[in-house]
Amino acid sequence: MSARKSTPPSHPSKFSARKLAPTLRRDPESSALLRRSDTLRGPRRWLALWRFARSELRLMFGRRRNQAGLVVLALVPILLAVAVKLSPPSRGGGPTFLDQITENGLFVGFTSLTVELTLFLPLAMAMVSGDTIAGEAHVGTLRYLLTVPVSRPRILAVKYFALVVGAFIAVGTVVVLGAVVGSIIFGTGQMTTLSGTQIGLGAGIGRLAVALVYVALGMCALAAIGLFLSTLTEQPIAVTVALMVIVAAMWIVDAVPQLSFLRPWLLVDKWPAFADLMHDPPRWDQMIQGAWVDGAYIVVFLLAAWARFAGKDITS
Amino acid sequence: MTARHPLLRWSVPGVAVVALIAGGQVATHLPASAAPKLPARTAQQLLTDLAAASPAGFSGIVDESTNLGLPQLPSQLAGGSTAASPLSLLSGTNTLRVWYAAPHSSRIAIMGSASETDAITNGTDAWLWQSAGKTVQHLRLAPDPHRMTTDHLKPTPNPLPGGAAAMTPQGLATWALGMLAPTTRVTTTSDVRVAGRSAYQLTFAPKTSATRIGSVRVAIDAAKHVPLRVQVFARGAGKPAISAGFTSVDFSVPAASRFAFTPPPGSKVTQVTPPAGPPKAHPMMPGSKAAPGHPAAPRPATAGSAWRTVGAGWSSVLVGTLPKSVGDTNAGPSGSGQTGELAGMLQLLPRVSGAWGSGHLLTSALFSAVLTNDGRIAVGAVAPNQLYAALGRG
Repeated sequence: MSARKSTPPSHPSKFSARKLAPTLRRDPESSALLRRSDTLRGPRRWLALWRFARSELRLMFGRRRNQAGLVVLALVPILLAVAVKLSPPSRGGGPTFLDQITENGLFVGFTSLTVELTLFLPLAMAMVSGDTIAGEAHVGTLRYLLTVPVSRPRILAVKYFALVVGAFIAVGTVVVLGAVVGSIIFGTGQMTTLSGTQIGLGAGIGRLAVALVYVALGMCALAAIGLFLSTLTEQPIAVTVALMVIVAAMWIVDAVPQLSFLRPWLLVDKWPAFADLMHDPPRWDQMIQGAWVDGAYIVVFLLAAWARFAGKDITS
Repeated sequence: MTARHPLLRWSVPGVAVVALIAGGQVATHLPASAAPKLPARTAQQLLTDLAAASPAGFSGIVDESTNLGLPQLPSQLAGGSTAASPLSLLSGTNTLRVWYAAPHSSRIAIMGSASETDAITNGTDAWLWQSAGKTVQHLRLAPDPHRMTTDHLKPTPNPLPGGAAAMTPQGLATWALGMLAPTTRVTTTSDVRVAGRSAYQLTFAPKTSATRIGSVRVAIDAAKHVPLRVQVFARGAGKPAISAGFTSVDFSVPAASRFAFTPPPGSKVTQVTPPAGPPKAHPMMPGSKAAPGHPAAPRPATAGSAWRTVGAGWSSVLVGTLPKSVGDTNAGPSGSGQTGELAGMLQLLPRVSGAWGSGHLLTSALFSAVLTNDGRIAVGAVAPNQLYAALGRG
């Protein structure tokens, strides 16, 4: 791959990454990188890249704050289910599908998604995307990461892959835990759609799975912005704050009727459209539009992250 | 990807942004701009087509937008900010899904965000389902459900009484043109594409300048002859004040199960007793908004003795008396429920007074309404002065 030329020039062998990178990144897996993944061919190259990705995932899920964040995400559906059990809501009030929960526990998954979509899930993505480049730059491991003979685009790709996995695990935790806890507390069975019809349990689970993928896709788009921001600074907290400011600003713009002309361009505008799945038949147009917007943000911000990172001087 | 030069590198995401924005614009606007070329047809022929159209069934998505310049409805009145309700059709944009199967099965679903209101008729039963609150209203239809047919689905003037089947489409078209001739210019305008289909456009323009309505445009599918879009323009306005049209339409007959409805468990079912007179269409029929614009459409309320029309044609004014509970604007917002909300909202409307009395005025791009303090109301697609004149005459 021609991108190899953009890797930094070789360094004195004394300070070889072979010794430093594994210890500093506290992960023995990283040594796999040193098998010159770019020069490998065929399956071995992919294996080396997979090892890199695996080490990245381990780093991400090994961090205490990320584990704590996942616990917070997981607490919301539990809290929701218990609260609804203790005092059933009146009709038509509260967050989406709240009044449906008592009839079918699967709705805990939908309602938790609605509740966490505005703040908790974006916050989780902001936290982990701050760690990707800025976090490594902050603790000084980025330069060692760059010494390994992996091209910078590929480092970005692996970082983004880890964020995508993180997005699916975060959303999946909310949805699956919500559905399981809800099913235990309220039971399952036929689901009543918004159209007043009934669908079977299998169809309900299928729609919940589509909602999971759709919301996770939105989180992946947010992570792409986060990855770009992460290449701009060496302060992970700055990335987290900036990303949350962006999300909050988008929600505000989305809520102002006078700015409605901007809505098609906002990332968050179509996020809640997963609720359309509960119409019968499901309504797809909004979700398809939302998926296009997500995809556009992913393309633009990954390219911007590459444009920034490929030429970045690593000073820390 | 070896772009060493920063400018070259940064141009890549830049180009991506431009390409995506351009692509998005093209994707949204291209289908609308490409005007089809259709063989010319006269207004008479189009009306004939319209009268002869009898689709076996169709389904589709209708986008409805209303831009009357009305004050924003209080959210409770409109059924909550996110909930779909018939009242929400009065302002902003709404999406409806419609299904129809001949002869008299229809389902109209107003889509809210995470809510839905469905009106279903299948010849024997009529259901109104509201997902917010899970309420069901059920009406068992009279044996002759002919009036419950698609008239409300075709938002076109259908000025014909029952027994229409005996007349030929040509006869109907001629008759309709004759009825419209004194008040209305019926012409054709440029062909359009609606919902990806080629359509003719029929324009109804009032001959009088006393009305606020500029014209009513109906787009008629070139192949199936059903109306695909209705637009109501205010006088001199370039954008429609009311527009309801398909964004996608499918002319296959929907499955019968689409028109069956079983109240889901946990829902609150209310049985509605049929009104004494001939059954009215849905309480939420989408075409009803356009009614003031259609000179030939009979105003449903004129049947009541408390109501009368002043003037004729497009500039006619409907004058009547409201039930005490609603009309008493002095009651203030202390009243209960929606009545209280309504009274509270009326207080916000500008006060007007004259020789006819005093009251509150509601003006919009298409119509005006005056509610007097003694509970009389005058509504018309006219300027307020004509309402005052009509009230004074009463």
